[in-house]
Amino acid sequence: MPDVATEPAPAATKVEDTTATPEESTEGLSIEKLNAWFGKHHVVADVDLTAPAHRVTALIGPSGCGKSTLLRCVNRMHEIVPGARVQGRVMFGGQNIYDPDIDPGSVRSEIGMVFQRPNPFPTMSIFENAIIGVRLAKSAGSRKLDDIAESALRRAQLWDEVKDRLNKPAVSLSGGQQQRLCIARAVAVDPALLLMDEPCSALDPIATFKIEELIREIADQYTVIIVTHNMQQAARVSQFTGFMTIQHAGEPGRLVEFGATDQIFGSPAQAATEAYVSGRVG
Amino acid sequence: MTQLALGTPGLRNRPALRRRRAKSALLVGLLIAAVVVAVGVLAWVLIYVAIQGAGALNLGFLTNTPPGNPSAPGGGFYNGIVGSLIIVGIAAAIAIPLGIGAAIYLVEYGRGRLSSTIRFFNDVLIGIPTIVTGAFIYAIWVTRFGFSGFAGSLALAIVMLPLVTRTTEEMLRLVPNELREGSLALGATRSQTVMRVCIPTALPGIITGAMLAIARAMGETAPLLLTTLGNDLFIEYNPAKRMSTLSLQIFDNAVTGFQEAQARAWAGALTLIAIVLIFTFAARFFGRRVRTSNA
Repeated sequence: MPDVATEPAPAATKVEDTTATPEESTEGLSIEKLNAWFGKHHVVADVDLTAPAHRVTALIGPSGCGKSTLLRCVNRMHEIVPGARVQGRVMFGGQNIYDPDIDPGSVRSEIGMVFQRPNPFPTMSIFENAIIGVRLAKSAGSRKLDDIAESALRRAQLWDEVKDRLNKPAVSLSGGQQQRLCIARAVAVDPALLLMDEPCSALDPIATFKIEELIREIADQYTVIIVTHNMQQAARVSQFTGFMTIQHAGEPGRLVEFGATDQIFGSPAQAATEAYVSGRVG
Repeated sequence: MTQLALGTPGLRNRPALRRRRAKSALLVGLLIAAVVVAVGVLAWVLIYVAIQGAGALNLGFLTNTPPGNPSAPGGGFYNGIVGSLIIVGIAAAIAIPLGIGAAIYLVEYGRGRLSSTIRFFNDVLIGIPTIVTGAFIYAIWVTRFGFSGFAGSLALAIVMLPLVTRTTEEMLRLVPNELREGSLALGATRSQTVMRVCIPTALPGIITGAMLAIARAMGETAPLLLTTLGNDLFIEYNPAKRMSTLSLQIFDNAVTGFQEAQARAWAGALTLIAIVLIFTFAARFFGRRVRTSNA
């Protein structure tokens, strides 16, 4: 197994308690006292967490623990579901993204997202999928669009496989290629932060391996938060890990422990974390 | 282990297996019979109309008006073809944008009371007999402005609107939510998401729905009797005047009892089917090109 946490993480010990004086990194992201609901159902309770800049942070936990919902709160995607509600602060680039003056659309164009199932736009070609975010945001000259598409597809390690058929429909690609196209689509707009919601759960092991390799590569340019129910994956790709769970059915999910991935998997502080990462529950 | 399992009576129950296979064969047979009947009737109608209509259908039929004396041979339905195209064209121009707009509202924006009320009335509207629609336009429009092609268009637009709304709504609902989320997550607004993702993805279905509505309007006769009335003697291009349509001419000629007139009615029926088919194929072709030429 590759060495995942390349440097000791002084930030990791501090984030345990961010309620007193939350540390605001301008590039990383900090979540403060975040609560989320679907209608009356409380799904995430009192989460405090800091995802350090240019690192991969993994969120692990059993299904239904609210980790995906927490992730969707970070780019204001949670609220698009009818009846969904969020409370708390998400500090990003020195601003609270839930500030009433902030346009959710601009938050989403700065915080990219990759979904569980590959969702390239089926009516568009590979090329169009890669540059659609740029087209939606601002009208860039078509001369530049070619460069943007190429660099995004290169960063998603898809360029060599598709460079001769950029005008073919995106759905002609395999599942793993489609997911890398979705990653290209997300990075084409140069987001500072990339959210990934179980990006490999619909893929086979080889496609998964490629995506994991890609995540490790892009982590030096982007801050990545990845939700996964695959603990090995969290251990392979992340430097920091947060463990979420629900105590009893019907209760909201909480962040039990957060720290360097090595520490969470090697010597977790909480008994619940230990039980989960050692495979005794979940 | 395996042998033991296969030897148990539950797995080697020959009579039960035979019964199940017989039942399966019977049901498959019934399904095949249903398909044969359904397709057979359709084919019968098409072939019968083609045989009956082919005799009187020629270039003269497509370029002439009916003879003054209905028992005379020859003549054609040119004025009806023109009238049908103009009247249905105007109706489509009214109903298709409105229907697609209403469906977009219902699927992408509407929630709660208002949209379920709209959906309910839309379903009611689909069920209204078209003669009633004709009577309605007669009462509110014809009594004031007289019979006209445009009055017919209004009646047909009311017939088409709920059909377009309903099919578009269903097609938009088939667009996976993941695509909407994918678009919103890129920072797109709701309207950008609708225009760039939802509509293009649903387009083939929307076009098919619009074509079905047009085909339906092309064949409607009852509401036109009360609105545009018909105009058998000369060619009218102005929808503010009384116009003839193919459906009205088929009706008028079929009920005369003269053999020559009935031959014209059959030829008219064949023309009507041909026009609808041409439109459908053209729309399919066009829709596919729009989809792939986005590149």
